[in-house]
Amino acid sequence: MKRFVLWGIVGAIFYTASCYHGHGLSPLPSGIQGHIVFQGVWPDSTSAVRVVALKSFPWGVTNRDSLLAFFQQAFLTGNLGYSDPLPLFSEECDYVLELNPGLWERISVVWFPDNLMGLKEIGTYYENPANPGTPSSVVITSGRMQKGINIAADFIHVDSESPFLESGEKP
Amino acid sequence: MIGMKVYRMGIPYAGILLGILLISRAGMCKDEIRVAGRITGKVTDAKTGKPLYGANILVLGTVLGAASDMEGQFFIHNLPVGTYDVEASMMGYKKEIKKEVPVLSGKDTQIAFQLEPTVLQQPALVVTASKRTQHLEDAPTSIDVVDKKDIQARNVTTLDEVLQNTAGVGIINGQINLRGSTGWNLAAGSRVLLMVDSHPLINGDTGGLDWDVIPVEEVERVEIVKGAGSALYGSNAMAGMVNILTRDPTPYPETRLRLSWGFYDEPAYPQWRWTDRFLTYKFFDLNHYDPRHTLSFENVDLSHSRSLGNVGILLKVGRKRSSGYMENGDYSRWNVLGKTKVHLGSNKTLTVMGNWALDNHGKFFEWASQESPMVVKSGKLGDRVRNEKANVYATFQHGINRKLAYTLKANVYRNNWQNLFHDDDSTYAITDRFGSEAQVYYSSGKHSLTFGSELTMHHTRSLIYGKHDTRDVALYAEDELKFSPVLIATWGTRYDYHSVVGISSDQQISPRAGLVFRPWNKNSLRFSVGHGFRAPSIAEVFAEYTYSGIKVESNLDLKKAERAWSFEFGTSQTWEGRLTKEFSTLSFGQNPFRWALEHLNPSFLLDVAFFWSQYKNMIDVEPNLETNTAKFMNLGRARIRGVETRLQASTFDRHLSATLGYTYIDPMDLDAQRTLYYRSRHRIVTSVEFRLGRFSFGWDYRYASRIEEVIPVLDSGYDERVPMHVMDGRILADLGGTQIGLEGKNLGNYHYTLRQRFLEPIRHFIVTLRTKF
Repeated sequence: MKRFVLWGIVGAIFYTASCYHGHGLSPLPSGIQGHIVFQGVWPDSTSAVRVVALKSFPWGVTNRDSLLAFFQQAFLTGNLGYSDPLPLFSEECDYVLELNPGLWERISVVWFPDNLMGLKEIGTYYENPANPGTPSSVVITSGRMQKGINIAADFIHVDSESPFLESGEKP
Repeated sequence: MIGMKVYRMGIPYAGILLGILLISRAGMCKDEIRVAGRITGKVTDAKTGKPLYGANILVLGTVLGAASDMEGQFFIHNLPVGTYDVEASMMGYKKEIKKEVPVLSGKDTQIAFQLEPTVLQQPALVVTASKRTQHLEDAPTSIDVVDKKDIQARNVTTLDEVLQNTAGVGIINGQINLRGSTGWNLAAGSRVLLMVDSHPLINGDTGGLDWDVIPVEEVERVEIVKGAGSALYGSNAMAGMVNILTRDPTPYPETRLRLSWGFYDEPAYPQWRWTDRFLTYKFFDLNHYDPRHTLSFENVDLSHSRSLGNVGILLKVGRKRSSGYMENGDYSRWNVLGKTKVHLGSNKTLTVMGNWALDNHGKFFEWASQESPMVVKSGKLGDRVRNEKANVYATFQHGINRKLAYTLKANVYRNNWQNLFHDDDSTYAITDRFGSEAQVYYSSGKHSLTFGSELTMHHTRSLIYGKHDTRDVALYAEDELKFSPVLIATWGTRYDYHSVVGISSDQQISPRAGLVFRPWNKNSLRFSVGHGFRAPSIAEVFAEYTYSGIKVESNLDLKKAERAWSFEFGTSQTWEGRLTKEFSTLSFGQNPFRWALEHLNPSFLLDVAFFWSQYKNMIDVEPNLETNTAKFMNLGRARIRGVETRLQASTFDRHLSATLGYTYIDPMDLDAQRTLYYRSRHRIVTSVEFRLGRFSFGWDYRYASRIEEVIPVLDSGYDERVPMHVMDGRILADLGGTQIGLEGKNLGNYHYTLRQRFLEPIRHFIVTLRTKF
């Protein structure tokens, strides 16, 4: 009789597993999506390129180590969002980045070498690329993917000293 | 003038009564009355020898029969002298026929039935398909039967929760879909006729269905007939009928009590948790746990039944309360029922039932957003609806002689609701439905003839519909011709006159024909073709309201009834092993392999049906994308075709049983060349039951493919439609007169919608105690 019960339990588990299909509907994703155009030559030392969003940015800080420390802290505290790695050695690509609702001060394309501390911002989002001014912020609303966050990235910035292209005072 | 109208309305009844008189003269002569005898006897279980209560005994070839009492005894009166074939049947037992039973003048003939238990649970007799008692296998259309064991095993609040485990049955917001018939018409205009004890229970204003008025605990069984039923039942039955048969009062004093309590689990995503009242959220934090504050629900049902001489009485009171699982999801319900069955002499019974229900519930039309799907839109919190319903019916049945019986029916149904919204507490509707029917059943030789007349009136007063009356008069007749035991033909028709007083009128002829052929044992082939129609409901024509975010405009040009020709071809095959307990020599522990071989004993029933319905002037919601409104219109041509497969299997002497149903439909608006709104193309239901001693374990799984088309006025750039995957599990302990059950519903906590912006129930658990004394 014990085996009979055992087979019943095994059958029930198998049946349950076969009927399980996740949780169906889920909260709608919010975030940004857009198109990236790469300029310049992809460095051979490239490990990954990602779109990175920062909730806040230390305007006025120019020191390299301070900026990297800020970046590290933002990552640890969840004030930073980043996309899946973008396709390497492509000339252009689309991206999607899920972000929590709220204000995101800076959206960047970041190049990562083998040594993560050597990261460099190679492009940043400007609402009006023809008259860039300072990098534009984005306000994310609940359940909405904000389209058209297009960025031009240039590998020439890989050789720059500062990890961020512009970090002066925000006007 | 009123007198003249009543006089005109009475003409069909005068015809029926004249028919009864003429046929009764033809079917009965003075000699028959003088020399009548009686058949009496007892029905017992062949294995245990215990008397069987509620077995059906039929005198074949006549209209006479009886049901066994608690001692298994039965009495059939007024049988003319002669010899008869007498059949006894009961669900869960093989039917038995006693051939050539003699009836002697003024004497009792005693017979004894010993019914053998069967492996497959199939009812022998049904009453809905042909408006009379007939063998299930003689019906030319597909019939599913849900019995009280299925209902009680699944602890439900409303009956529609059980029916959705049946093949081809989908429920959207209370609207029942048989093989994709109705979709979701904003809760108005059902193409399936809902009945309680063969009396219609259709809402007079919307033409929709009211499940909360049905006393779930008192339901004996539900018959679901698929296919055109207008030939006997008229409007609303164009895609089938659901007949809920309540139990009769018991011949002995019996009190039943059901107590159940349940709670809702949290949604799968933390961001959807709209309150801290979910039990699981607080479960381990006893300092903050407050049972009165938890999202929970409870049901209490108390009934008493007994017989006083020839009068059986059933009284019941029910109380249901729920906090709901989302904002405005709460309800408070009362239900009081009284039923009496009076035996007025030989072959005469009068049944009267009264049912009153009060429902006060929060109204959740649509969610605030998919980020907060359990939260109502701003300003809607606390909106409520108060709904009061009363249903009274009377049925008088008289078997005049062995060939002739008639039934007189009358019913009144009042539905009264009022919105208690922040911005509207004046919208209301009061609808009264008065129905009556006279029906004659005549059986002679190879023929079984059913004919009758119906008269129905609706009176509606509402702020959103106005004041309107409708009248329906109908005449119908259907004959079953048994060429031989293996070939049965059915043919009949119905005439309906429908009028919205002072506005429009319409008339319909609805013929139907069917053929059943049983070429070999346990196999049958069936074919049916029928015409069905549905007159537009008052709400579809006159209503101006907003429902689930859809602003509906009235359409005074909606005057044509929708019509459909429906065809079905089906076949069923039964393979039944025999119970092996009596010759089994080994226990499982002694030799499991041999035990399994001895007891494997698989039995199955396979039923396959192909169906095709061709609609004309189909009434559906037509959106206007420019004004973002919708109205009910006669669309044009539509088609619903498909195939349905049902498999019922049992093995190990009924210790393990399973059912599987798969329905595929192809629902097309032929003029617009698009799939009809709110239909799932594929639907699967499956159920497994495992019994072990006093315990039984049950598992249900329901799947419906993603709804392909919805009314597009709500399109807001995203689409929340997903397929439906729902599984329920239960454990039941039977301790003699007391049952304790634990059930989990939507165990996968699967989130889905069946109409826009309304999340179906999340995972919840229920504990039930059911006892009788």
